[in-house]
Amino acid sequence: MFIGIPDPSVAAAYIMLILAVLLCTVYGIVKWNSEGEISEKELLDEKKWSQEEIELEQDISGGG
Amino acid sequence: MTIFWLITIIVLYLAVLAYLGYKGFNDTKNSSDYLIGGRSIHPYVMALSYGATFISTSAIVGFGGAASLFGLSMLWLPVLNIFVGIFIAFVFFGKRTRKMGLNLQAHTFPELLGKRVDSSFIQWFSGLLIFIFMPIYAAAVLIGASRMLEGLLGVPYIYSLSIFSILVAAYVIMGGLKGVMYTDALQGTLMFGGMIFLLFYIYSATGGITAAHQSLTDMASLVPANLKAIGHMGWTASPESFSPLWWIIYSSLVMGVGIGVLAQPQLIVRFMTVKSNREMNRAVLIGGIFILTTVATALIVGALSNVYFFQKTGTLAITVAEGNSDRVIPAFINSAMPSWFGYIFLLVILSAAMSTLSSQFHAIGTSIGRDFYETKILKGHAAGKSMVITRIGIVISIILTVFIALEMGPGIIAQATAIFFGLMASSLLSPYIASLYWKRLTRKGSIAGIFSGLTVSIFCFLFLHAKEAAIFGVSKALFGKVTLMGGGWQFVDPLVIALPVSAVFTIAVSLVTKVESPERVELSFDGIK
Repeated sequence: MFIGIPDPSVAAAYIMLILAVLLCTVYGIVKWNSEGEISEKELLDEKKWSQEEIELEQDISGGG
Repeated sequence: MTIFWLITIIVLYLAVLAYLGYKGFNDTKNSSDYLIGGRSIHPYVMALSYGATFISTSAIVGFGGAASLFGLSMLWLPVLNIFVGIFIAFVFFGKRTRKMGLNLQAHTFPELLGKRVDSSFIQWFSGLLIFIFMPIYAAAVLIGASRMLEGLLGVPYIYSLSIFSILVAAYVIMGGLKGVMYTDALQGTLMFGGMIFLLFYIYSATGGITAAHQSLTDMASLVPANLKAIGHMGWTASPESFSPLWWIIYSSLVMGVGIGVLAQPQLIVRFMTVKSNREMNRAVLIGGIFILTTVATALIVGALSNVYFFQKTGTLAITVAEGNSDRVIPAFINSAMPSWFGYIFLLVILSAAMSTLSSQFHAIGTSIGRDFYETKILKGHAAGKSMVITRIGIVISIILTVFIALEMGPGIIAQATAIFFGLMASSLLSPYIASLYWKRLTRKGSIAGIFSGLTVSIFCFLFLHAKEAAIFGVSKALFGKVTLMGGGWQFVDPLVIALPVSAVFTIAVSLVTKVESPERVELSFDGIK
């Protein structure tokens, strides 16, 4: 019996829930500052991409 | 709850959203602003924006209500939501999607799938699929919000649905579909705070964590006969293995939605707007906690509402909700929570519905305008001419969504959500994974994966899976029986069959055909290790 839950498969879900959040938390903390740098080419690609994205947004919801 | 306060709160809420939308628009008037604005976005904003899009009234009202019937075994859903929908989605799908999206200059999910194998057909066909099927999911979200208004205001469902439909239409006209992360983040924050309060409240109202679960365990003998007959063994126990209920919970609700999230077009486009992998790493932390507080809380409240209502009224939650599981959460909020929380929770519900609906109609708009009209009709010759079609498409889909919401019966939210998630995953997930990870994927392989998954899914919905087959009635009309296969098969979710079939077709057809454009493969994987 785990916190009032007799079925191990349901208790396991409760435990896995905590473990999954822990995994996300630890990953987020450990990697908090990594992979932040991007290349020159990526920046150019991004600039081109965002111009088109702004036009697309205007198609969807108008200028304002 | 009075109409005066209700209207005041809604007007204030919309005013704040309009201000944030205006601020966001000013920040992104041209591409340099857009780049700088995007780069300085806090990971909290990014993560909550993703979370608010992901989690809707479908999860809170629909799945919470389902948990009042089926119990805590549904907690495997948030386990998958966090592990698959956040961790795997960001770390293994998000980073590659972002980079490949930039390499191919793709702005939508169908565009990414199409450009990866140099196929305009894949782009417009996937766009069309999203346009046709997304209203089923949007209707589930709309029903969730309307049921909440119905419960809190005590007005007939048809009125609450009308009020909410007008709100959605007003939101869209006001420019609410613009991808502004700040409004999403505000909505996410409201959801976060409201659900945390609810979690503490339900456990304290039912005697604390262990005592609450114990009380629910002790109620096993009260399981209604119709649920017992399909394998229900109590709210803190898993259903009898391979019983109809076992398949419903694990194959449709847990797996269908838990894995189906990876092929959700409105979530995948979020990865493309992220500025570097670092933002995704950080969002994993916040996203995981957000899903825990929203989805897990909704399911725990749903299941434990049985304890609350039994102690107060001597009846089960589903009895209080007059047999409609979609009404359980509203009934609980209305009778168990302090009245001031009703107003707060109204904002939580508005936020959960609006943030998801706006991203759904955004995806519908780009699907019909950019993916279908520009690619199939204009054939790329006159880009930027699709504004009218985009707008008309969104209006048609809003009307269709309201119509579907009116037609769908009680206890339908979770099922409708699972149908859409399942359909998307069955047809698009295998080609998507192969696009990101497998250079040998060919255009024909990708098309085969999409068609095989879609065909098997639709066949199962019409002829095998009892719930939908009974609604459509095609099998009954042609063969005189509701489903073609009896026994457990009629409860197995179509995804369980369609996804492996789609994977086999994607791989096998790719292996027997040649990569059509090796240059496209090089371009796609440029900078991807």
